[in-house]
Amino acid sequence: MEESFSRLLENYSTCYSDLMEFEALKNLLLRKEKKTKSKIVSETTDSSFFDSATFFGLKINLAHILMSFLIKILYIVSILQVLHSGFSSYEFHQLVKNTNYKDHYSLPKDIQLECCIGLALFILTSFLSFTKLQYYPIKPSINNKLRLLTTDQYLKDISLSRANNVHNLIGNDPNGEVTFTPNFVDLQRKRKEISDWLADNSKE
Amino acid sequence: MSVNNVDDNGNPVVDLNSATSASILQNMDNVNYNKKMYVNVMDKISLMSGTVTGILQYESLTGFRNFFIIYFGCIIIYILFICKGKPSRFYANVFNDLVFEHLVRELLGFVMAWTFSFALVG
Repeated sequence: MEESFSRLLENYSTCYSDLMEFEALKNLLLRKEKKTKSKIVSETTDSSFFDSATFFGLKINLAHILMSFLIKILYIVSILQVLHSGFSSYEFHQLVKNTNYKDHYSLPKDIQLECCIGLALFILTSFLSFTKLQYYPIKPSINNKLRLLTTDQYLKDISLSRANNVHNLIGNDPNGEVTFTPNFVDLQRKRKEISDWLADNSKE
Repeated sequence: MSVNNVDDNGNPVVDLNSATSASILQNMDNVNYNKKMYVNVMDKISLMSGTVTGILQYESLTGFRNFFIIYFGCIIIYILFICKGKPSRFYANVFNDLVFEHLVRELLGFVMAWTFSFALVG
C-alpha cells in the first residue's frame, strides 16, 4: 500500500514539484544576476499603490500609464510645431512670390527654429517611447500573487542562453506546443490506481 | 573523433563553439524583434526629418547632408541609450543591421517626405 501511495504522490504532486522547481530556479537566477551585478531582472513589489494598482482584476502600472500619456502629449506638441512652422513657411513663400525681391529674403529665423525644435522633440519622444521589457510569470508564486518582472533593458537578448533565462523566469516553454501533451495522459490507468488505493485503504 | 567535420559514420558534425555556427546559438525571434523595433523608430524619424527639410526649403546636397546628420545621430543615440552601449548583445552584425541594411529604405522615405513638403510649401 505504501508503494502505491508513494506512486500516487509521485504522479499527482508533479504540478507542485514543478512550482517549487520554478521558484528555486527563479531564486537561483536572481541571485546569480545580483552576483554579476548586471541588473538584468528586478522584481517589483505590489505593495505600493503608485507602482501598480488593480482594476477589475487587472494589474495596471500607473507610472507606465503616466509615461505613455506624457509621450502622446509630446508627440502631439512636436507634430503641431512642425505643422505650424510649415504653415508659416507656406505663408511666407506666398508673400515673397508677389514681391520683386525673391532672392533677398530667406526663411525667418523663428520659423526655422520652430521647425528644428519640433524635429528634435519628435526624435526625443520616439526614443522615450521605448519601454523596458516587463513580464508576468505564467505560473503564480506560492502565495498566488501576480508579480511583475521588470527587466533593465529595452531590447531582447539574442544569445540563446540569455533568452532562455527569460523563458525560465516567466515559466514559459518555447516548445510547449510539442512538449505539453496532457491528452496523452492515461486517465483510465490513473483512475484505476486511485480506486485501487481507496479500496485497499477502506479495507484496513 | 571527428576529422574534417565528419564523424565515424560519415554524418556532418557541428562544432557549437566555432564562429560559423554562431547563428545556431541565437534566438531568431529576438533578433527579428530587435530589428523591428529599430526599423519602426527610424521610419518615423526619417519621415519627420524629410518633412522638416522640405519645410526649410533645403535643396540638393544640403538636404542629403541633413538626412545623413540625422541618420547617424539617431544611430548613435540608439546605441548609447537603447542598446546601452552594447549593440552586439542585441544585434548579430551591428554595422550591417544598424547602418547599411535599412539605409536605402530610410533614404527613400526621407526623399518622399522631403519632395512632398517642398512642393506643398514652396
